[in-house]
Amino acid sequence: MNLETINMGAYNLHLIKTNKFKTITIDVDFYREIKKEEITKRNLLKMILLDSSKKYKTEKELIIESEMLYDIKISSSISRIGNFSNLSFQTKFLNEKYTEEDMNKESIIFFLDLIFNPNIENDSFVNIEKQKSKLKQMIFSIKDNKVKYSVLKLMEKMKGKPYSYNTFGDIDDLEKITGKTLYEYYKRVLNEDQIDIFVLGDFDSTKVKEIFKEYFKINTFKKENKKLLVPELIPRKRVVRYREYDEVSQSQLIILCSLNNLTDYERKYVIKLYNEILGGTSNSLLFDTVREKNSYCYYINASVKAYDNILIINSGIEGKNIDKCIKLIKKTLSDISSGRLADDVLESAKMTIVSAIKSSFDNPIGVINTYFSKILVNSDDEKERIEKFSKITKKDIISVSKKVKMHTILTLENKEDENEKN
Amino acid sequence: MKKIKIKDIEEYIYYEKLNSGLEVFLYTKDDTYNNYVTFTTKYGSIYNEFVPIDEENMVRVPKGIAHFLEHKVFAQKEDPQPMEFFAKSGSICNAYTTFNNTTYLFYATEKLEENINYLLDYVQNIYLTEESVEAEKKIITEEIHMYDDRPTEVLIETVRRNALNDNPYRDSIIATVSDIESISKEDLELCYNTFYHPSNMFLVVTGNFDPEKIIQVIRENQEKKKFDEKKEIVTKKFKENDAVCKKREEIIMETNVPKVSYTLKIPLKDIKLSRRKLHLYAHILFTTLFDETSPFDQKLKDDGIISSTTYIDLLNCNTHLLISMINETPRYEEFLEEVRKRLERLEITDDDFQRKKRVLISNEIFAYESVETINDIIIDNIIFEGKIEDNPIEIIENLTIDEMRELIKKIDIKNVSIVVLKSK
Repeated sequence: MNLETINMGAYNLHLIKTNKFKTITIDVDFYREIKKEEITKRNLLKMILLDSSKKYKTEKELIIESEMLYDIKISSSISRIGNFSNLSFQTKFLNEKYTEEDMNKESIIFFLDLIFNPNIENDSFVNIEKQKSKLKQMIFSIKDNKVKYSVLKLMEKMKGKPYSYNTFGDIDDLEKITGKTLYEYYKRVLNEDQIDIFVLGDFDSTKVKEIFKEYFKINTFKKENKKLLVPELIPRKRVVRYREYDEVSQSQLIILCSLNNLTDYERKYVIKLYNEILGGTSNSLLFDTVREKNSYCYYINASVKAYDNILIINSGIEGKNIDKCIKLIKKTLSDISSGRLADDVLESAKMTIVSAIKSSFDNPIGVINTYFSKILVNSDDEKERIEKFSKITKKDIISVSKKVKMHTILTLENKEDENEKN
Repeated sequence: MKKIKIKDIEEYIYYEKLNSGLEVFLYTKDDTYNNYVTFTTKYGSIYNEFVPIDEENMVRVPKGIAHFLEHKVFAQKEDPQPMEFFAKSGSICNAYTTFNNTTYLFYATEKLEENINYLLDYVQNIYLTEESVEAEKKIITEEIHMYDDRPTEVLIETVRRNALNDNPYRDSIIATVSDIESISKEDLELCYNTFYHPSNMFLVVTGNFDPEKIIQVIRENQEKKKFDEKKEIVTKKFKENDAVCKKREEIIMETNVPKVSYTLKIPLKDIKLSRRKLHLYAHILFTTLFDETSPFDQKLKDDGIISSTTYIDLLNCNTHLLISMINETPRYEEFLEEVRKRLERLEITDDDFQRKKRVLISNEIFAYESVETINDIIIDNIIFEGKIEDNPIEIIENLTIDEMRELIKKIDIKNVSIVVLKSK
């Protein structure tokens, strides 16, 4: 795989040449520091731009054209990395080797046209109501997924932190958005967001560069902003517990842990390995303790958000086992801190991570994400990462484990159990 | 080893049937890091009445055993347990159960040979105790509760229960808590001994390896083991009435947006098409009627009746094909009425037909990009067609609108089951 980065003035164009895939993938990332009041607009923008355009006035026309282009895939997403909100547009289409000559160019132009030539009249997006009601429904539907809903409820308690915001946005903010205000925001995204573009596949670099020069026209200059890291939580002497109630047959247990004083090395390496050992896969300590040895649950996971300085543990269990589960989890955390950790568990977890780094190169988005994280957080290249993960010692894990502290617990329990307690 | 060429895509799959009856499929892609290996028994949740391997008469066992076995096959008498073993080389293992099959799998970038040997060994060796069976019941109960809290899962389960009468596709793969309670160690052993015979199983390896070397590893592994004699497994044939079991049901459950399904039940006995062609035609027809390219979708979105595109679910239950139009909207009554009206005119234009064919062909090529997808395609081919389809693109190219019209005549648009799920 061969990477070439071209400075196009207002953005960087990264060309990743490989003949490993039958497709060409393009990822356009717009990112900036997250502000709560902008999240809803970014979400709506993500939907509106792929719904219609100046050329294809309706979703129907647009999708028919995408099918004619050998079913070119287009998608958009919003994600958050620390303080940054990333609005990403992606496309994947069959390399013209498998379709017709000039289809590469035609496909790229189709995709870029959606971003740059939206359906605008009088400086206002036309007909945003359909996408507004779809977004409204998405915000409401979070409740159907009890894990996500419970995590959201817990995160809401962490006021002011970017992870406390609902990723889809906010109903009140949504109501206020008009075609005009959305268009103003769209202009700001184009002019103020940092932009990186990745093109991956087997193509002629000169031709691709020319296409972008002509069709991806942005000329403003942006200051680089790298304040990615979210401020730490202040560790608590006593863990705070919240209880939510709903009609559920299974209770949700969500535990938020604070991470304090991580070094850069720990953030990039040790805490990830620690998380893998704790609750990364079905070979983890939590899985073994809570599910295999005690049959309390079907799933239990830990996930680390290193740039948020937090770690989350979640499980679905029977209401009456909640307290026993919390005890077991506490014990597992303190076992690691006091060094009760078998060497082969440590080595297996390293192998799992190394394997994941290698396999990320088997899919286009995996490759692109790897390169993007180099830009965002200055991560090492894959060889170095594999080497550094392999060298982590038990001592490293023990010392990072002392920086992980249970902070807040939230449980979602059955309404009937609430009534019994009263 | 035979080499099967997939025409028009220029890809090859190696095939061999071992003496034990085990079938092996290998696909190599020399620039990937990851290998994906699946070991499948053609045994899923629908086989609850059958003649056990050493017996003469049909027996009936509790529902949910296929999935229960999936959990228990993972437990070995001696450590390391499968999870630990695979983790040593950074590999990830898992398993899943469907209506028709149970599949054990792992992903590995390292130690492919050792891992294949281990996969064959642990799946072909079960260790059950009364205590471990009881402990697993608690875990599976939590798994059931997890699904019970997901409105869309509940909707889809109800769709099958209401559309079907006696067909075993009616029941959920995982079964109910009381089914699980009634399963004994002996039930598990009986099903394991019958359905995990190598002649009822197949292994698929997709990734970056030397096929000659890998087939040799598999041969040697199997030659060392003793198996019962091969025997055709007899399972009960079931009858299913054409009429749906329940025409309409409203489920009350906590959700912010009501969910709704409109399901057509189509008998397969008079349809002469192959399973693959039937699915292609049904897919083309119903996506054209309801997806983003349809006037239906445009109109209902403009009128605010729906905000998301209708999801089409096709399920072939051997006797019948169920086609469900699923959406979520507070205005579900209007949605149902519009679907009903749309189905009164089952027809599509030639332009639409040709365009959808182009989409299907493109997606055949898209699929050959990842070793996971290719492995899944092979599993699907073997489970549903008994062999690798080596000419999938030509089949799509040869679809005709006339043949589709013949199919349309067989669809009784009055044979409908509706499920609505909403909160109080």
